[in-house]
Amino acid sequence: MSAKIALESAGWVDIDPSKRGRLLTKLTTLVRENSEQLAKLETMSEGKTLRESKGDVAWAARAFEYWAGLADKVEGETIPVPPRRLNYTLREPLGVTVHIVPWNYPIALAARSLAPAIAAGNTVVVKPSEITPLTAIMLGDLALKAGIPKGVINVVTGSGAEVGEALVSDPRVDGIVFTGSAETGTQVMESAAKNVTRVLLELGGKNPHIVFPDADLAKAAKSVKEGIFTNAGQMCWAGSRAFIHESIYDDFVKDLVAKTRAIKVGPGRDDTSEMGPLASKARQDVVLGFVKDGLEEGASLLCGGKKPSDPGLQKGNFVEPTIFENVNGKMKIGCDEIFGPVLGLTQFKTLDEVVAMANETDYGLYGGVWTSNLKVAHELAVRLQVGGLAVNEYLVTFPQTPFGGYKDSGIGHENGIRSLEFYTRTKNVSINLS
Amino acid sequence: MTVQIQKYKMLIGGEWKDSANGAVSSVLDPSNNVQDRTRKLQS
Repeated sequence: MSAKIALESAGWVDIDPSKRGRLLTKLTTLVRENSEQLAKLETMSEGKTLRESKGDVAWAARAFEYWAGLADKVEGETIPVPPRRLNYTLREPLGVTVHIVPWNYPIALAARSLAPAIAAGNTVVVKPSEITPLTAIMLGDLALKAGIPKGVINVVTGSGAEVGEALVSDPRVDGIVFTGSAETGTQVMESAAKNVTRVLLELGGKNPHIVFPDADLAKAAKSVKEGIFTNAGQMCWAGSRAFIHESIYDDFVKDLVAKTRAIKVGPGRDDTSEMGPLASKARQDVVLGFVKDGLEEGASLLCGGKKPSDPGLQKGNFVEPTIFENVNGKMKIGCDEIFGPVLGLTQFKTLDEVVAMANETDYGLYGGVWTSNLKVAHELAVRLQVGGLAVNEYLVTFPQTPFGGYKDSGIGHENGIRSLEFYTRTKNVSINLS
Repeated sequence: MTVQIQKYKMLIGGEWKDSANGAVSSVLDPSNNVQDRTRKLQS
């Protein structure tokens, strides 16, 4: 395997860590210089709007930049032990890491895990989704141009069932980073377990977005809208469940529905489009199936729920931005991850009640709270079973802030200096000085 | 617009190689799934 050979080659194993950082800095520059083309490729294959793709490319560049600065700061420690001994730890690269990247954020999520892996001295094999491989292929090209040694970054294409399974079952692999569904994540973990391979999993979500009456309600409505309809709802951290306090419910929902009806659905490459298509025909079918389930289970459809009537959109995988109300956690649309532009609304009366409903699902990835009461915000920060919580904002993540799920939403964290734990091994060294 | 990639390229050991089975793979613009145009990428 090329990655294994590169891992042990003199040009990588002996490289000055600060040079690894400079190589990542060069890659950062190349990503920024080629951001227009990368964004167009992303929109062409994933379907999201160019504005969203440009944001994703900018985020990827920032991730490379962040990890470039940390490459020479992967430090061990000295540990106090009984006299006449010296005890210290070495932080070594984990080895060959495999990165199975999903189709919803192809370049951003490739960068999110590839950058720390390289910064820590690993070699990587990136497998993009078979329906969105273009930016990962270009990223491989840019890595070579940046001077990253041959074999350090490898990009393999193909299906998850064929190529992905072969990678996660390979005993020469030391770590697997997987972002995708909980079902596939479980299979990845099973395969990895046979070789005792370390895994980092970021899986699904059914994320609560909670609005209290004392919030800035205009901003909250805009945030609830963008929290689900960005990237046509194809996000693990989509705010797919909104809990609105009963005292403001009617007016808030009226505003939210008006804002949602005003969303311009269209091709991602069209600058005026605010929401693009779903990534595949299969996804369109699945999402419309959930709409049917919602209607059959007794939820009330407030808007959307079908393909757009615009004749110009009939050939694409479009689904109108959709809102249901009277949704509860027993309904499929209230507990399953839809991964599409479908929002479920629920009224609440008390803080205890909304905490119970928000925590009702098997997922625990992300959440949002809108309130001007700091006491309420802090109480929810403690009581909500989520790996990340946004207060008075939503869909916010930085390369330096941890991102990971509780419960069935994953194992471990991406982003932030602590994620280096995954990409390194710790060796303890004890020296008898007597 | 439809993009059809005749052969995905893979980057292995710093060299560009054809995808394992050489099969034609398609990337369809999700906003228009009708194949009205083909394009080769890096092949």
